[in-house]
Amino acid sequence: MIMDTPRWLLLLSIALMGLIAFAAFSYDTPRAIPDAHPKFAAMEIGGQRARDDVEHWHLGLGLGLVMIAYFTAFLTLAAGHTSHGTSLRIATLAGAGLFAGAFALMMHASREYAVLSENPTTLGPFPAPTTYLCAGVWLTPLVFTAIYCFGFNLWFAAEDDGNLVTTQSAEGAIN
Amino acid sequence: MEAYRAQIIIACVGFYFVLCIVVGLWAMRRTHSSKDFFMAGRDLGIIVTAIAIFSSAMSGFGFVGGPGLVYRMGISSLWIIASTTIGYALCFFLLGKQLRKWAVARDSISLPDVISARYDSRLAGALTAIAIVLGVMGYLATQIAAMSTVLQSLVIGLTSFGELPLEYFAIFSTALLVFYCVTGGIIASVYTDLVQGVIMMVAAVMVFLAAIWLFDDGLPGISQILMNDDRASMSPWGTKGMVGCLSWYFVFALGVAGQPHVITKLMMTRRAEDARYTLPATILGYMITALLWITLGLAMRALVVSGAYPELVSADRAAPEFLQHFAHPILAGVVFAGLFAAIMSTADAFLNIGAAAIVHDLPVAVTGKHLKNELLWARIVTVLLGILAMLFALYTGDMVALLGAFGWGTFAAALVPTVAIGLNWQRATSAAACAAIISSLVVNFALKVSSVSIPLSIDPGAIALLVSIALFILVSLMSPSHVNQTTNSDDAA
Repeated sequence: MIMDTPRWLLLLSIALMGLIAFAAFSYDTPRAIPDAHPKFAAMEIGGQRARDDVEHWHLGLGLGLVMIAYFTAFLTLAAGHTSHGTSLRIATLAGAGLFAGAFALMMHASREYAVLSENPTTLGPFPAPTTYLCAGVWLTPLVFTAIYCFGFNLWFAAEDDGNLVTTQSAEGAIN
Repeated sequence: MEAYRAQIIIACVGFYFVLCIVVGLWAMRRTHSSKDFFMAGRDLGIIVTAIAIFSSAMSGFGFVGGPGLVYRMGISSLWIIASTTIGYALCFFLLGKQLRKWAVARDSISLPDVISARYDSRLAGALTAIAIVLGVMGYLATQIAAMSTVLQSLVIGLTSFGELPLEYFAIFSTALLVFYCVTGGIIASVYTDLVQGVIMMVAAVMVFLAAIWLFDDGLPGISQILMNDDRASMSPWGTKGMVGCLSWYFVFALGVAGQPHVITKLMMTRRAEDARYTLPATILGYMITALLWITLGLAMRALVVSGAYPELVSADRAAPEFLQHFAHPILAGVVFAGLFAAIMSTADAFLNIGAAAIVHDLPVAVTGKHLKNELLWARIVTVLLGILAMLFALYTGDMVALLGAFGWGTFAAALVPTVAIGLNWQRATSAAACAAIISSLVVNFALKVSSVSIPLSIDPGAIALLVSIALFILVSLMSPSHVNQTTNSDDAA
């Protein structure tokens, strides 16, 4: 590997901070509070913030994809504990690809939904992009749960438990 | 039956309280040492652990604040719920076995114990304990305040009682919580969590069905009403906006691995291999209880915008008003019991880790020795913590909110790098751990005290988390290498 995972995490942390700072400066009214509902005081509506989001759609896509890369880097930290680390990294990256694809699909659908002129219809229980949010962003990461459950013996339980921590220097430790 | 609505609800809640007391007494027989008191004798099975994990994470906020957020913002808060699948996966990938192994190998009975051992640093352990105590006071006071307020509103329904002062309910709430936590320690806590988690799931499914049956076309019908009113509120971003929602997703997904009341449960399992099944069981439990959060909020918003129900005074009234007017009295009773379950399962977890920090971690950090008769002290400090939190809840006003800022975001920023990265990266140093914990406290507190308006509704916790992770890695890379050849031998592989 060119860099170890923590260095990737550092790089991605800086990238995320940069994207957030860029977002804060690129919106015309970044500090605008959500518009109040015209009839009901305790409710908000999308208003100006929603219109600005359509213009900055690409920023959300970039931010989301970097975030998924960040989560993936975190997940691959676990690969350091197994002699089958490469295959765990490959499985995790495959899952991340699926996750990123589902997120991109949700982003595309959300832009379509926002610019649609006629009344939108529902796809399942919600409008299409929100259904993609549930199926794509909420449920797709279950692929990592599947990796954990089905690959547990190979990737997570195969480690030599006795080799960990037991011989750490007691100097300065609690006892 | 409608005429006895208040009595039925009180009876359901009363039955649940009695159940908690019974569990406390049962657990007392199984609590013989401080290891039993804080770590449940490291003997928890898969289902008990899974339910304890998700019910500790789903506090009263999920049952009252969650529907309120949906009522106010539309879909936005679905990002908090959606974060759980990746969040718990991260938590188990990085800590599922690691935490338990450290706990067993070093006989650790708390998170600061593990951190002290991992970094060979009493200071790192002490800082973790301080962060935990500050967070515990905020969380606990908020939970006691919520429990007292809901109890008071229930008893007002019984006209024979009249309007009793809030203090009475705060004393009762604290006494009940402290009773089962003192008698049975974490054993009582996790087994009441089991009862509480089951009640929460049953309540969530029943409310979900009740809410969709109110509308001819079910959930699609609710969506259609809300889209016709304001299309953006039903978009994935709701009214919070794209960047704000993504910041929620980030801090709640990554933050799970830094919540002491959640990850401490991973140290209590009977077998390390149980983690394999605990992960899916935890996610399933959380997903079921989240049904209440989403459907109740959407249903109330749709009822109000369609003119079927008058406008709410505040968004947080969404859940109570729905239960009062649209739920069968028995369902309302079960859901109110579920609400208390959600509040108490979080509060008892905090009482336990708070007591551990004060009785076990801070004395070790300062003197290098354990207290004599730790179990007795643990019980005494649990009582004192409960009383202190109650007084905070009743008399300090803004201070509770201020300490409440030491919540999810602070724990995430302090502990994700220190624990989730640190236990998986041999190069991590104690200086980096201390820097990450201090930066999390400073950044979160500064943002709260200064009331800085953050652009695009970005969650302050996301900023604190990014800063502390970057700082942790940077300081580790810049510190002299303190490689322990055997601590994480497999890292070198």
